[in-house]
Amino acid sequence: MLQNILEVNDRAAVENRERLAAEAVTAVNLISAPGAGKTSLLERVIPTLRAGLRSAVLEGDIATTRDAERIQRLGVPVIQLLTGGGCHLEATLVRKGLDELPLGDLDLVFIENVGNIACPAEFDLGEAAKIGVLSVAEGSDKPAKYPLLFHEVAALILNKVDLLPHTDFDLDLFERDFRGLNSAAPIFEISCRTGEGVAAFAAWLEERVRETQGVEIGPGPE
Amino acid sequence: MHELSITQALVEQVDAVRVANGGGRVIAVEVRIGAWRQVVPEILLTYYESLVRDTPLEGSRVDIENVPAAARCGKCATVFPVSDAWVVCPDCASPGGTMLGGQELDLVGVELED
Repeated sequence: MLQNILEVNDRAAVENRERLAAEAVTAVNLISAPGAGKTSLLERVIPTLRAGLRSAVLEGDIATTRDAERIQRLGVPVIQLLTGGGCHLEATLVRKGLDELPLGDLDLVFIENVGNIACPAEFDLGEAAKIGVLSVAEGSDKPAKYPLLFHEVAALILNKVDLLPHTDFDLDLFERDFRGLNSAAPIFEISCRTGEGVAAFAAWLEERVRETQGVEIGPGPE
Repeated sequence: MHELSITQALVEQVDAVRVANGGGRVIAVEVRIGAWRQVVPEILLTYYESLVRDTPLEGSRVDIENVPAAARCGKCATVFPVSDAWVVCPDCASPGGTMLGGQELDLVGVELED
């Protein structure tokens, strides 16, 4: 016998993925340590996305609706997912969040995971891409110390680059370690404080949305 | 602490196997965990012990097989062991191969009382 222990989660993830694909919605799973700037990134990037691109946010937290309130001010639909102590989101909780969203009227769903760079990497939520956010204040050794996350991400945001002159963050070491785990994912150097680099990340997201909508499964050829 | 939800899922699976096979007591459980799964065996065992208390799984042994991580080079197809956080081909130095092993998280066997 051979059974995947995360079978229940992974089955829910497959269902989420199929549901999102049926509506041609791109979902991205944002993963970072607490305070790296996931919510700030959303506050910056959502207004930067091209006009007419309809986005929504599933906001994962252990407690409080503070982040959801911040997102609400952007005028996009937001659903708070509270894990009540759990250190990561699971696909079954995300499914409940998707139930609450008007998927037919959306192009892009951001899933903001619980702040943590170990556990969330283990759980497939049904997203199209995992996006890692690392802030320079955390140190350049993080890819080497949390390899699973950095191996899994489709894009990596290096946030708070405006602080680089004030930290010991070693860009070369960081890039070398990250490329040792992941040769394909683009790195976006961003400052959510100044807005630097946000447009390039927005363009990358728009490209992902175009890909999803380009391969939308419609009725087959006659 | 994601070991808690993983262990909860494991206990539910073991119990389902038990019920489907006559409903006796469980003697041993065999699981396979990849080196890259960030699962600490001691924590899993501690959670397991508390979760199975006062159930037909109480007292069962958990045997954990650790699977080392390996990767295949995208350029020259060499298969190499991955130790630490460094997926770089030892032959041609290309970074970021495809992981072949190390991400297992499987229930492999359940031993039931006769």
